[in-house]
Amino acid sequence: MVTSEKSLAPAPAAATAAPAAQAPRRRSLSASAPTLTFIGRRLLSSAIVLLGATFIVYMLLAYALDPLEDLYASSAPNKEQLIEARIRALDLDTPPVIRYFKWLAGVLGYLIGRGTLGQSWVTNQEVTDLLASAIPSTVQLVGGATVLAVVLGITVGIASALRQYTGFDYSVTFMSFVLYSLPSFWVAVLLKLWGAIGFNDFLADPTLSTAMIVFLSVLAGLIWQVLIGGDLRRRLITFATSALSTGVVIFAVLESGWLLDPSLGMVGIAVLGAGAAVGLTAMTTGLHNRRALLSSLTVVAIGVALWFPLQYLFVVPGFNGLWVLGLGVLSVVVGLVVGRLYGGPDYGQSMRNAAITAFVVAGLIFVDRIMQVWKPYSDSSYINGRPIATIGSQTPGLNGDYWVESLDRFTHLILPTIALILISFASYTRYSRASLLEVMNQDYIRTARAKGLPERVVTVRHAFRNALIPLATIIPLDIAALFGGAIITERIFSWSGMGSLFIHSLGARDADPIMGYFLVVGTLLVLANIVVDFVYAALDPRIRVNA
Amino acid sequence: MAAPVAVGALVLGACSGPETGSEIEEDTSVSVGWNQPFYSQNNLTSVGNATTNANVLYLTNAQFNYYDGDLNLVKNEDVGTYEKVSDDPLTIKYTINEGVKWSDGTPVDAADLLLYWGPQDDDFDNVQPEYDEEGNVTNQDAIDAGVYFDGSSVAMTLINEAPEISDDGRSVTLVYSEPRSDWEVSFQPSPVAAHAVAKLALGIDDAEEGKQAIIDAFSENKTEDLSKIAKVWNSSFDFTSLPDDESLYLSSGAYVMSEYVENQYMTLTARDDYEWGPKPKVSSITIRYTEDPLASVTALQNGEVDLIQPQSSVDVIKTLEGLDNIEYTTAPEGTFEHVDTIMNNGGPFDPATYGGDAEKARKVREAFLKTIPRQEIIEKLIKPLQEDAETRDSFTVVPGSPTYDDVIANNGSDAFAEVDIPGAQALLAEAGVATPVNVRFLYGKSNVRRANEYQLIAASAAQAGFNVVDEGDDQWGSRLSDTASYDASLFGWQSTNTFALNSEGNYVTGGLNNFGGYSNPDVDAWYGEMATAEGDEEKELTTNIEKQLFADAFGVPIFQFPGVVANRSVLKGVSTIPLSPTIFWNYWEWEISAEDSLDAPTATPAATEETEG
Amino acid sequence: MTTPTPITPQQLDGPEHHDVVENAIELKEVEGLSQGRIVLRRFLRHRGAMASAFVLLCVVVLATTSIGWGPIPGWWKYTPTDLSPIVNSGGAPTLSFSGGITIGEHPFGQDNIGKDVFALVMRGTQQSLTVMVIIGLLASAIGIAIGASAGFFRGRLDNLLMRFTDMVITIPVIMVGAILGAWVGGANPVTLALALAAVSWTSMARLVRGEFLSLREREFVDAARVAGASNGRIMFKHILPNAVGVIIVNATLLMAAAILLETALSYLGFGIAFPDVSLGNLINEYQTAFATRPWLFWWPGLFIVTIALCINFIGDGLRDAFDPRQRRIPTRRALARASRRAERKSGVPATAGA
Repeated sequence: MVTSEKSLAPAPAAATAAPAAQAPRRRSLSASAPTLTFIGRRLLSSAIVLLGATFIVYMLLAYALDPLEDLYASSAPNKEQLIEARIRALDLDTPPVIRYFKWLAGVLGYLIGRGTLGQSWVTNQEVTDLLASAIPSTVQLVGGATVLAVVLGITVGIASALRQYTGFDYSVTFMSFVLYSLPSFWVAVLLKLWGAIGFNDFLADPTLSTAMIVFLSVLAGLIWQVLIGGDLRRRLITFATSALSTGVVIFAVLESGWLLDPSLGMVGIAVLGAGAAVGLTAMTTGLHNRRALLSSLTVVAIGVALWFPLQYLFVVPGFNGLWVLGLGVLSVVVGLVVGRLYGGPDYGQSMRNAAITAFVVAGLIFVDRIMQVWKPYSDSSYINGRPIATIGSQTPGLNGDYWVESLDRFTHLILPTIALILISFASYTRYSRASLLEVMNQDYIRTARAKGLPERVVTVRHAFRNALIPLATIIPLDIAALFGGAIITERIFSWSGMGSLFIHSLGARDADPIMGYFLVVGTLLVLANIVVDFVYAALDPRIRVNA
Repeated sequence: MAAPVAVGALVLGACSGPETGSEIEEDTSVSVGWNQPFYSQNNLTSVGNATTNANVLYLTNAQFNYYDGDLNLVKNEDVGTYEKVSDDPLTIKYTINEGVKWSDGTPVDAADLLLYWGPQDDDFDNVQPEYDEEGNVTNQDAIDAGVYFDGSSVAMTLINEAPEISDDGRSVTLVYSEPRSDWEVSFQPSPVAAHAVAKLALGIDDAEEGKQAIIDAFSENKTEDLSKIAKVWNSSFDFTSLPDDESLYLSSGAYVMSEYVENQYMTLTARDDYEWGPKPKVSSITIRYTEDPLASVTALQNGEVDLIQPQSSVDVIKTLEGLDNIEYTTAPEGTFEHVDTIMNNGGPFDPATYGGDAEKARKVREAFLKTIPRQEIIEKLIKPLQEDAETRDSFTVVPGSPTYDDVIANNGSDAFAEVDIPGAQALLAEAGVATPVNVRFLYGKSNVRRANEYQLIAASAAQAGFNVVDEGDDQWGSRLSDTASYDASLFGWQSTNTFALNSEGNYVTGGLNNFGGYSNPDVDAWYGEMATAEGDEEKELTTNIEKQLFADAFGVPIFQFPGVVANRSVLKGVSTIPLSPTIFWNYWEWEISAEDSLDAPTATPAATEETEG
Repeated sequence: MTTPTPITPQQLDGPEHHDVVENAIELKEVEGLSQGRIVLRRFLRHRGAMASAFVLLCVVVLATTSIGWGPIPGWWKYTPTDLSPIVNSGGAPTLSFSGGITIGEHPFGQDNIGKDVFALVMRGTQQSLTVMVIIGLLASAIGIAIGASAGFFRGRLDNLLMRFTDMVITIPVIMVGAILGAWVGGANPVTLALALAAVSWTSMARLVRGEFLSLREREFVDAARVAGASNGRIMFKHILPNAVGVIIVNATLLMAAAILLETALSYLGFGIAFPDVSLGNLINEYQTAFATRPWLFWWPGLFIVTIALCINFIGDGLRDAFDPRQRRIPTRRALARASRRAERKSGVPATAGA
């Protein structure tokens, strides 16, 4: 559907929607002649689909919206003239069918370089301008949330599938159904009250009672033992360790005032980076691959060593997002080089691991730098010690450098992003769980096990990849829907994206912006459908490309 | 206990590198929450005429007068003066004081006054689009060449001669061809600067030359120039983010726009050179835009905005009650709810139904209106929102305005003060109509308060023998003029000024908003006299008109919309009036106290300091 | 469809062995039963689904009998439109659990003009259930008809129908609500449900088409065709029953989504219009009451979440039940017992039945 709010999409994708592709191998798609014909035909038929859809929507709008409504109850002495002026301005004397073709002529005008999407009659703005300001803001909000929801959803889904019918699996299933059943505005309203007001109040006096700390520790212990599983003894050990460490961390964070002036520092980056390096290596190549492990750890060391000089680079005047991007790319390059230098028979793995680790370390350094402005930010009179925001996408009038602005962005993004993740991640969880279970039951997995491959290799190399194939076919549609914005979330958090544009124009009985919105979203959806067909055909050899 | 702290400090504390360099400049600023974003500097066009624009323009434009907290029209003689030169014909002379300047330094003068009149005078519009059978515009060239200002004002159209400009170029004299009692609120300096229009439309960069060109264009009716001016005036001043061209948002008032992020917020900064009016104490005002009514309350609670005027509800009030450091006041808004009856549709209230027996129809109307539980509606729906709420007892006068009490004491509204079921039954019996009488009742269905009112009215009217048929409809606005489809309606009228003439269209024979076909020669005559009436004379005419309306059982007013204004306690001097610009009316009295920034936690725990250096 | 194979940590040390043992149990259990019986049996065993079905049944019974529905008389003393004097301050609920359960005059509380919230919530539940069932049935029917024709006849018709489906997918749902408001003066549950069904059948159509595309190539279809069965007979008697699992599961998900869709539309002001009541517009109307009069907000919310949750669980149970390759995980003891028995019987592992 056109919106990414799951509650507005009548088609639940969860768990059953697309047939899982069962092909163990990928097949490359060659651009042969029949394929080109297919593309041509698909594009043509899609154009017709789009044309039909715009016509239907235009007619529905023409009959549903009455632009004169506000004037009927007007007490203005010159009401008659106002009504007439509007009828003239909006061409309301013309039958809607003819107006549609006029509109279409405007759109098709772009083919010869002088098209128009019309304008909003309420504010006189060009629809193209409206879209140009709404799209980036929606992509920023919904884009981040979608990526995070996909990553989290798939991770949790896979974990849940690997632990099928355990307490963890049942909890995840239950949680995802609950999230799936919650109206999205509920989630948003609750988040505002607890996540913003509650947390900000807490920040004013960041202390917890001992009982609360104990409760949180026990809770964390319970969660971890369910996650890790095993027999009773192992569970008890897990419980004790995690509860204890959680308690210590909470206590330390509160006592040190870390929440008010957080940072990772060199030590934090080193510890977290090393953890990431070891974890990643264990998952991908296994810890016995010394070269991979060492190359990852080397880049962590490089990152930590560079931390101090980088602090000086970060305050160079004119430092901006492009620099950050450049540094991010540079870190990946460094990782690749280090991996290559360690050499060995399969240096590719070392390169890959080192690059990923380097990227993670770079991210940690970035986060650390952002944390350093937390205190000046929340102490500023614009913020008043209440950093988590409930409305808008930035604090008005805040004059800060790149880091302050980034942090400001972040404090505004966090709540709507969490709201969107909570409501959309459930379907990805259900989807990836079902998909992995399907794959794990395939004969080639049995074969892999029978060959004596370690379970890690079987799941990571053989199962994961194939389990992700069906997901690859829903993601293009989700990306297209992303541009439709999140109507409810945008509204509640006063975020001015595509969803707001749509609902606002609908409320103002303003048809042209709605048509502009629809044109963007409809085109992307239709294109995404074509992409999905191709991904299917490319990944599943049983599906033939013929239209 | 000490060990974890030390570990925490080691792991978490940062060895500080260079100075963070991330400094935030401080400023005293008030944030106001509003629902719709600003979109036009020119609120005289039919497009730009909206409250949200008017609010900003009130902050940025010099005006001859404004309504104060008691709805008295106060002259701002620091901006300029006006005096009535003659009553017949009505002639007013307006003079701008020396030293009143646009924010680019150009003086405000007669050209800027003229630009208020010209575009709104319909006599300048010399073309109307013409259409062929397929709806295509056939005279596109003529329209391109002609003059069409998308703005219109009855008062300005009455000025037929180009206003005479004084020699010093700071005064204009307006001559009305017909008297207007509301002339005092009909004229102000133009919201857009004359020299800016000249620059954009005629390409004249020099301010003085530009002003003269504008004056010439209107006084000599230069069609070619007017055509260009009209196009610029109609749409060039519409914007939704800060334009590059400063002349699009010139200010002649206390504040000037300094930042406008589309759909997010607008910041207005106080002008240093402003001295023609009360000087504001706050150095900048930020208006933040949020559509969701609940969101603005949360934002206030979270300190993101300092002042809001949310849509009132029991729960908004209760939430506000429970908040620390938040003050709120409840006060009526400019819209009033009322029930009207329809007398031209062959329904139960139309004399035609009873063979032209007007008295019989009147009795049925009166019986119906007597059953309307006005007190109960106030008690159940309005009092929870505004403790001191009372029924509105006048058709034409805004409660709180100077003449309200006198008018309601004598207008006959006391006949409908309480529900009178026996009285209504008696009237129906007198009229001799068979009960139950079906009354099709039109109201805005998804407006919860109206739906509740409907339920209360229907329950009460049923006791007297009326069967109130639910005609609730979200398209009620467009159905108002289609009186065949309903017999009584419930909706609100909004007042834009305190002049009784404002309501003429509702009650005179054939009036634009007189949907029910009410006609009374006396009422028509009194409205005719009203055009020139002032002071007590106006009050007397108003009382006469209302007495007649109540006697004829035209309808009943019920209540003034309850509103609420809430602000953080650090913001002082907040007040509101029922008319535009509501909460902004006394912006110069706003003061945000210095301790605003002291809420932040200031103590830095020792652990982090240890690791510094 | 998916096959959730039990993969437990224990399995890692001897997967083949356990598989066989489980299969032995499974095979024994379903011996001599028809497909329908097997499905039913599996469903009845799904604890989550059964509990949900029970709760849902309770909700339906409560909603229909309490305030009455059509010919069914209600036993509750108030109707959703009754205005009665406000009992507790602010209309707080009289339901109380301190010192035994007291139901009182207005267990769920009252709103500001004295309407009984319990009656309102019951009415809302009826409306929401109506919307849900109509959308579920109608959208499924349309989806099946279109999907089946497209998948079975393929070629041009398939192309045409699928492009039509694409077209419907692109139309924003909210617009449907807005248009209804303009045409019929605010939506009532039936018109709203009909309109929403008219745009929400697309996922069902695509799914059914997929099933038909693959099923029509199967041997039993060829057999039926050779035996002279008509197209209609092949479609409805031979192919459709084989796709019924997918269809039922999707229909339940459609219903769960429908109830949330109605809520979201009402929130945006395009759903069922006041004073008609649905759970969605109750929440919407009283959302400002969230912090101050929580009973106005939480009761309808609780019913929405309960209904959606139940439907989702039932859908999950049905999916597990319909999947022929689905196996229930046996308890450790049953596993051990079966293992002993299997070894005693043959010594040779039986072949897997999947």
